[in-house]
Amino acid sequence: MLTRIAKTDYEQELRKFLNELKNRELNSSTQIGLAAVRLIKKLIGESKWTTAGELLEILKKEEKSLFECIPNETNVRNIWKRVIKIIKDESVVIEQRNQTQIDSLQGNLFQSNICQNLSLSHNELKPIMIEALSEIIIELESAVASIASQSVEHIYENEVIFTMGKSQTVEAFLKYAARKRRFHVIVAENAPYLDGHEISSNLQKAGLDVTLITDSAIFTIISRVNTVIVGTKSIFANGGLKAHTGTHSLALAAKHHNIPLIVCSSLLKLSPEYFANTNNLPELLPCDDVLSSNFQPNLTVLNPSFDYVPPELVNLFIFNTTKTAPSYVYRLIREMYAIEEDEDEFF
Amino acid sequence: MNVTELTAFFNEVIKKDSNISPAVAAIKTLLEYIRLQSFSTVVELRESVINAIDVLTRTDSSAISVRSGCEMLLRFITLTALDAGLDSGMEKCKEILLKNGQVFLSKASKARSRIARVACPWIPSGSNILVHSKSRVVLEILKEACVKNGTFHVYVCESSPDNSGLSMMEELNKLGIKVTLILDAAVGAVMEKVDFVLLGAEAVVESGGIINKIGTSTIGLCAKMLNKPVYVAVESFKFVRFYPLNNRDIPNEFKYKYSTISSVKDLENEHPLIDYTQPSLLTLLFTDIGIFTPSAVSDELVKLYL
Repeated sequence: MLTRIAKTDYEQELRKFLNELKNRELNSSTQIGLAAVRLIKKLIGESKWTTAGELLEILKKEEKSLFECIPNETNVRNIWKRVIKIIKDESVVIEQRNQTQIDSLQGNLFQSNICQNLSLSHNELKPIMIEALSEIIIELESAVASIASQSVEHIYENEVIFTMGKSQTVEAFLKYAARKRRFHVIVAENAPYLDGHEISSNLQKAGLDVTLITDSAIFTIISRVNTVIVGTKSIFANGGLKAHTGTHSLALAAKHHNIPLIVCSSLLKLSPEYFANTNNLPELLPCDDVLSSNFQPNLTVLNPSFDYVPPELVNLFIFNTTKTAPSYVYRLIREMYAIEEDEDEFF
Repeated sequence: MNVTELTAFFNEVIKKDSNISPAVAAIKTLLEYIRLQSFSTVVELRESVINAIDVLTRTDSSAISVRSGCEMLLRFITLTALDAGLDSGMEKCKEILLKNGQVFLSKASKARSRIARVACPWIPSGSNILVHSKSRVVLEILKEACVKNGTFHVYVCESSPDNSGLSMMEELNKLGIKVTLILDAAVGAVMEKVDFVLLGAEAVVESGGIINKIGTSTIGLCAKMLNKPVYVAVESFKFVRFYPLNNRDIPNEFKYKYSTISSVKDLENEHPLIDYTQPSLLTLLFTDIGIFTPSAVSDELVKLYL
């Protein structure tokens, strides 16, 4: 895919996007999400399609080839699937009685052909899609602020809050609460990237009392903490997290002392995939970040890109507009994503 | 079709295809029954089907499996009648019913291969798997996983009283998978060696728990204690609208064979055939309609019975 010469605008945009991802120029999930929406907008605008069915085919094909290049960018995939669901929703005409969910038990077992009118035309569908994509952009841009505004309900006077590493959402969350309450924040520095340093200096500028600790001190300090608040890279369908390395250990330490773990995340990080907990290591980031140069023949340096945190260790999810327990996450997923009816795809 | 013909047809279907699930066989029988009988109203149809279901649950096959399949068909009958329209007559209604019944049967028969495809990525090569008794769905999954991912090691519980674990072991040997047969009592000792547990189920209840061959609950408890994931592979027609809180809540018709209940006065001394495993012990359910967490099951059931 990358070897083709970029002919169309879409392909140029795609090339740019992939490069930005590779060079780690896109720092936060919001930026990645916005870039993905721009990409989809270009694709819808440029490719030739006359009916909704054709557009769906194009999107699905692109999804497949795109995700062979970047299998670990779950958030981009989520947005893609969201858009597919919107198209299906707008253009599906279902037989009278069985309106609600085609994917339910009843629908699956007893309906031979779900009547899908995928023939909504280009002229009708395009303005709907543009509007829907703008809504997604608005949601992406406002997510952090709407999550932050809920912080006052969760943080009280003189509490000790614990966080790890840098998360745009958590930073905004704590800064918002700092305007109304006085509390103390302990930040773990999150080796090897040490982004804890950046967030602690930002938070103390906002007037909070901040303590910075090393990752190895987490278990010692955490018993004195009231709540642990973290961000995440994405959320699996069972309520588990795909978070920065170190989050699983933090979650276990919190569980051990019965301290609640709150995860702040925008709804777009919610993914319909499950995490097959095989013994294979996740994708590795460059080991230079851990140990630069000094090539030693028998030394292997591993730098996993994410940690899987099981849902039992998470107490609460704070999304843009709702707060839910991990066991309820499946409900939100059902509303956001279409169940694939094709024989070879499930979610 | 009278009582003896019904039972005979049912037993015939099971004998002809040993791979068929009792629920599917029961539905096949009921569809045949509907085809042969003549009905003048939907209520009459429903009543006679309910009687036929009672007859079928009195065979010695897994009563709960049969009941779940039949309940689904019964629910469907009631809904189809509305679909056909009140003024189109019984013939039309019957025709739609039989046609959609056939659709259901064809989907149900593909259910196992769909489940196998869903579950395959979760069975990596080199893993150690604990399996309980003989489950055709689990066998299908292991077959597919062995071909796609590479081989692994399976520990099978003997599962008395019928020692169906032995037959499972033979089937796995035929597929070239390394198998170890263990005593039911050895589950606690073996659990530490195992990576995860893969179970079938005779029914999935509304709480998200499962009803399965006796011994399953013990395996679930051991696995939870040692933090091993428990995966359940089950077809969607086994979802049942029933909410037990513990093992005592399961009615006797499911726990014991019909022949036992009718011949024995005091059931206290009989060994139950099935047990209830609570949802907190299960990790995920693989079904032909997707992967579910135990908490998502009741939602699915409510949608069906809405």
